[in-house]
Amino acid sequence: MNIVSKIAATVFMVMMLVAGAGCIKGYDTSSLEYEISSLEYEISWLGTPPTESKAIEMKIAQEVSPYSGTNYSNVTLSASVDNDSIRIHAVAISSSFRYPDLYDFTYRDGELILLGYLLEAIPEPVRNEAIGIAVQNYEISAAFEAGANAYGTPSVKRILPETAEKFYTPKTLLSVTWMDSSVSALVDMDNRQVVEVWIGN
Amino acid sequence: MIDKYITQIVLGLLVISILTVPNAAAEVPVSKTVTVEEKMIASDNMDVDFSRIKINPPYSNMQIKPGNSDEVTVTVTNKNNETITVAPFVSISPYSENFFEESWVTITPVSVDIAPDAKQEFVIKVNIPQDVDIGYYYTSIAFTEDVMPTPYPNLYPNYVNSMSFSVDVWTPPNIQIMTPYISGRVESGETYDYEIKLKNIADKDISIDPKIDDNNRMYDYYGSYSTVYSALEDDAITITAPSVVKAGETAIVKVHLEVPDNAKGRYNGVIDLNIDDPSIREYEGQVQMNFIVWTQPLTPYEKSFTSNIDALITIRLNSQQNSYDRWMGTNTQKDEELSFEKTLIDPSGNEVEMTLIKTTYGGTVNIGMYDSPPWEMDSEGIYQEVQTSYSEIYTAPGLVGDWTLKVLPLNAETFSYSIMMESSE
Repeated sequence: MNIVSKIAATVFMVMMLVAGAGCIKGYDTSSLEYEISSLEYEISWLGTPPTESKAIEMKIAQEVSPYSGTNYSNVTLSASVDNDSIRIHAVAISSSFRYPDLYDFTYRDGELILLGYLLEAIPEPVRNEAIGIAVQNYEISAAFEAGANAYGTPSVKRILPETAEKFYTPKTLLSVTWMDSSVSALVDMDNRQVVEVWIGN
Repeated sequence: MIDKYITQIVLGLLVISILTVPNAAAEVPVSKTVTVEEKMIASDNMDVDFSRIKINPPYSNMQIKPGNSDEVTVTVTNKNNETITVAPFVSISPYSENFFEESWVTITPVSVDIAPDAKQEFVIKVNIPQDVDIGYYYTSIAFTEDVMPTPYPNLYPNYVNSMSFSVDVWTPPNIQIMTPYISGRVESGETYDYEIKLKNIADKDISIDPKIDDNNRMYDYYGSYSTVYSALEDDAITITAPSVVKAGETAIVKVHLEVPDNAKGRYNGVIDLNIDDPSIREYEGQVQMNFIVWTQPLTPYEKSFTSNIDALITIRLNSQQNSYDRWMGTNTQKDEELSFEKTLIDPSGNEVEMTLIKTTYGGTVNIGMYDSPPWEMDSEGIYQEVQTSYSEIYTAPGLVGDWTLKVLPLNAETFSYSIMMESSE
């Protein structure tokens, strides 16, 4: 191979490497931007974002979802280091809901795990309907007749399928709870039916 | 002469009465003897020697639609030292709200001899005919004829070796009550309009006749006494509704509430929609109403106090409320900010200007470590604000003498105050 050929081969290899690197970088970036920009809500960080913030945002976007048929306005994330993992707290709100959806995650080695949630971003008519279905339940009404206080405003929380599976079936349910009275109903909104009742101490 | 006869008659009656009393008294022991004999007879009839078997499960509950069937397998274990014959049968319970028909049940095998410590499975199949009304049906399945002894004849024998058996006959509702709950904070002298939407998902028209339920205090904490204290009479509520919800359509029941000027307290009521459809149970065709009548005071609360020192007066006003109560019910109240209108009058009767020096927002935050339903366990460890508070602190130059503080709370259900005179020396 003469010098010209060597130079040509080197130039070709360098061009290929640059092109390849550009392709990979371009793919990743465009993919990330595409995924994020396709969201109907904005993700922002409270405090300094962790170095893996973009990857975390992508995974959070896949994990959090508002009540069926509704949208979040924005999702605010905050991070804290917990040994070799990152704890992420997500607050998802919508201007049309009274209460937010709260999620707790842990992120380690590129994996995001949902630790807990408290989801109250529920449309008002749905909230009222769920309360109405709950109070029409025989056991709930019997608890009120027996002295439980029906005056207090109950909380209405969305229960995710992975939790609901333990008590009924893997689908989204609503929990209507009079905490002052330790009375709660697990409501299947599709069937308009109370599927479980809890009467605490 | 007549006196003598009268005396003899009286003496005679006296003697008769004296002789009669012991006999009358003797009636009691005679009666007792009879009672004892009856008890002995009953006792003799008591059969305490019955077969001992274990039934697993000891009770069963099924949900079956009319025209459908379901079955459960029950295992019977012979706990006796000898072989027994087990022939299960339906023992009708007189205490069920609906009458359980024996013909709905088929049990296989019909009769089996079970050796000591041996087990036998029985399949109990229940067929609910198409024309059965929805509701709860209770009965028991007896596995032997052994009867619990009773001191008196029992029309419905209490079988020792039996299991409780209940069937909830149900159908999906043909009519959906889209607004089964009306609640909110209402103000005296105001009017409010609510809508109850009813969606008929059946292929036939369904009649309705909504009315305030006469027995509408069922959720009332204070029981029947609350009727006396109810903030509203039922006639404060006017219901306008069509008589029929047409097949596949949604009808609207309009509820108009006129809160009297002098209304105070709470109102808990029920609208019975009187839905003429067998798929709706009596308690399902109802709309609960829960109103709290709230009155915005127009005149301020006045508090007189005496200052014994010429010192700065510090006044703290505070209000707090539960987070959920802040949003009570069905959007009947505006989400208005809490605030205070205040006036301070000095010993000369002049209004003193107060300076706001501090505003505080407070709250109580739960982290889920409370007694909660098991399906909310995933919310443990997540912060949740359950109570909020708001306070304002003012100062004013003080003087020795009698003062008056006037506070008009706006959009607050309760408030508290503190007045402090503190010398800077």
